[in-house]
Amino acid sequence: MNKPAPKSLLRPGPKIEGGLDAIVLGGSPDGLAAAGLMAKGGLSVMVIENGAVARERREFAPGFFCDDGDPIAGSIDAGVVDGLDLYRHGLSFARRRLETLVRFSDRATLIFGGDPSLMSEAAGAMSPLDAERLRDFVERVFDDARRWGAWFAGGDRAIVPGTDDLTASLDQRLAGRFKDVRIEDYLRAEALLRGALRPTEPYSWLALPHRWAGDAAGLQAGLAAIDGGERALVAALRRACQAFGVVFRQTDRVRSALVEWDGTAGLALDDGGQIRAPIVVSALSARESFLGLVGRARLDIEFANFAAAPRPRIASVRAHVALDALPDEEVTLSRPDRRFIYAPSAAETHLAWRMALEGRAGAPALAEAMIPSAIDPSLAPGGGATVTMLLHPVALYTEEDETPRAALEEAAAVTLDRLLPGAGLGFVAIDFEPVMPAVAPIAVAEEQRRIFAEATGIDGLFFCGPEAQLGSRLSLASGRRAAERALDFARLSVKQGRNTR
Amino acid sequence: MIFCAAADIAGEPRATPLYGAAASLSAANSWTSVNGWAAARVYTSVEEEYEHAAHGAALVDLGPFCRYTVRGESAADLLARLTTTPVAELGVGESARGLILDGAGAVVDFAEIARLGGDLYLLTTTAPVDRRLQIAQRGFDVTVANVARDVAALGVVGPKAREAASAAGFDVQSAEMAAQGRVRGVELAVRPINFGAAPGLEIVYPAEEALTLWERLRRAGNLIAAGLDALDILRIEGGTPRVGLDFISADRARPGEAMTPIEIGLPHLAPPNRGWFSGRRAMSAAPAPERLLAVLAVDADEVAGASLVFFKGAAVGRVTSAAYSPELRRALCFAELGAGAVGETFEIGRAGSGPRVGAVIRETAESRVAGAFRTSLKAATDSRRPAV
Repeated sequence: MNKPAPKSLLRPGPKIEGGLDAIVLGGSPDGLAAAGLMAKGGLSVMVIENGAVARERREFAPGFFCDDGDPIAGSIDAGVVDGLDLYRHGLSFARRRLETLVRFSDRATLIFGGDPSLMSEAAGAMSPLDAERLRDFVERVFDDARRWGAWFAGGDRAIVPGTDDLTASLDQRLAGRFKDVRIEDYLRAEALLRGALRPTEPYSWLALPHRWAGDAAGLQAGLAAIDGGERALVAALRRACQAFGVVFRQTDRVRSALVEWDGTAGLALDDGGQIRAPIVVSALSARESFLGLVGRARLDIEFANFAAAPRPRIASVRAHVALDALPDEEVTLSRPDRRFIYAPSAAETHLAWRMALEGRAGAPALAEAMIPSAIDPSLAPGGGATVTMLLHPVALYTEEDETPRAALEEAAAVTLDRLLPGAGLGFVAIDFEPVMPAVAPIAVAEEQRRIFAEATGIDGLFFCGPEAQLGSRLSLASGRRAAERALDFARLSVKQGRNTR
Repeated sequence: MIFCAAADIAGEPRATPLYGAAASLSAANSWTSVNGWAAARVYTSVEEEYEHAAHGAALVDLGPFCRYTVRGESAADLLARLTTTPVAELGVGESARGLILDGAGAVVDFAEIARLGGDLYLLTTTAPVDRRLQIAQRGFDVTVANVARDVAALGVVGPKAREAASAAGFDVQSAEMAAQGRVRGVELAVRPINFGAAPGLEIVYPAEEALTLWERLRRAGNLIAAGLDALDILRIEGGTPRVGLDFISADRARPGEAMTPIEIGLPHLAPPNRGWFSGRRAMSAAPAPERLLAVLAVDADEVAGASLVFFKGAAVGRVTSAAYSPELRRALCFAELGAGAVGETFEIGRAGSGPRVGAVIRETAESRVAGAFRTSLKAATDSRRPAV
């Protein structure tokens, strides 16, 4: 007589899944770009998301909606846009060559079109003497940007001895250059936004040529507002990925990266199951990717130490503000679809940095804002407006010790009043996205990118997390580079007769 | 394990726990500083000390080595990552040697690890690696302590070392066991070591008892003490390069100076197929070596300082250290040879047109092991060979 099988055999146990060429961990824009390009290259790809990226616009106050993430794109990698045909999959720019309105601490304004080279004419109205100087200055920054353009884009650093001074600080290059110090204030604000360096620190100069690298190369003039913000970019990338057959999986049960001998073999899950693939691309942070998933025991000591390096204590935060009306001010109301910049004076900048380093908030900070409801009126009820505002610098707190919201609100209120005078009167609600660590200075970021890209020590593991990127703007370049390296690796594996699956 | 290079110009050296005993035997009163510890170069005469160490047994103060205890659940994981030693395979009481590599796969130092208990290991290095250990231990559940000041370390070197130790009441029955036990109430650990070509034992015990055991051993076996100069002959005969003299530790090297395990002639101490040690990947990916350390037997009694090695008239390398070998009745030297220096016979002399003497590459204990290791590695990976 046949005995019934023991219960434990019937219970579904952990599964080992295979049949994949590559797994992408994290559904960030760079992760999706990497997934799409690998799938286009002929690999079968699975993206593992943990639900961190919002798919829908968010109602942060009754009737007021916002899109999380950066509403402004810098120069989105042309290779990704073309390769994945993103325009066909829904990417569109609401405004290109964003006009910028700069407000200074004395409430004066400066308005200029998207191209930095147009700035000198506008500045001429403010200080006729400086128009010429600014034109020369922008040209010199463009020269730096062009010379370092290939380096910024991921190539080798080409240094011309005697002319290149990478260690220069912003203040060193700006101080005393213009008669009207407000021009210095603006240039400083433009360069320092989201960065971890103070204007007095070495290497801070690099931020400005990097910021204008796209303009200098004539690729995309200035900054552009994506229709629907970062969420819409993610949606377009997802659609492109799906068109190339990428599989998506929602799970937060990934325990570790499977490392078998010298190479990655996929991911191990909490229940003992595995998803196996010879290529793993991580779009998570370097800490999560290397210390969390791979583990220190499998990393070189120097590399693990680098990945565990303390993060800067400076951070940025994005706030969404609901207003029942825009302030009644001609300069704002005439064109609310601009980019607004608050350029504090040198003293204010210094104070803001000091307070952030001491863990306090409240001083008027550098800020960049858009009014998304001016582009898409459905984001706010009739007459109302939403403002998306990036504040920098604020103090970085760990997860256990959340940044005091009251302090952030105070800083946001003060800065909003500087950006849009009188906006406080129509205030309805404010909502903050999670505090983001400041982005590494260009020279450090370049080193980080190189080390994380090349020295993982594990075949088939590629990295396109935030540390793989230069600068703070959405660019997708690190995703493209990870996909290119992964495809090269796959081709080499086939050539060498290794089983790729 | 051999001592790292002496620093003759260092300040006043500290006294090791065995200094009193060593000083009382030192007729020559010739001292130097190794890692800041006083170390005797010669006690009575180099020839006599060499004779005892090479054919009988001699006492050595091993105090100048750096010693760390690593204790904790992930002690083995940490040491397997920090060093190339096969820590995972060590049973309690066993001991093994290896190297410490940096992230670029270059040699930082020698490392010997003895497993004293379940999760208690003793790490011995020739130079301090405190900072490296401190960085490496982040994220591991371990307690690391530098115990160099707290323990006396006594070596008995020579083919009759075991007999001498047994005569003094030490339990040295097993070949591998780093036995932990007590002799006359003194807690100690005994482990086998190799000092260049000579076998030996190392006895580690509390510093307060330093002189008790030294005297006990010395009287029981009628032993003499051997100084650094005699030991240097042994180590060149054995083919073990000295850190800081024959090669520069990667932690102190200037660009281009650091050497890989293959370059220092010890590839068997860092097998690429042994676990995931730090620097393994870079070492495996390193380009073909540009120079190699080798031992040359010279047709002369001594080698002048700053000598060069010539091959068919062209300079192909330099002498890094040399000593007169009473065994071979000629000088032996370590030389750094360019990878292009193919051949077995060379000439040694000063730059310019001075006199030159002939030299041949000499096989040593280490180079034999290295050769066997290379052959086995090739046999294991060469797909052109038919599978047996």
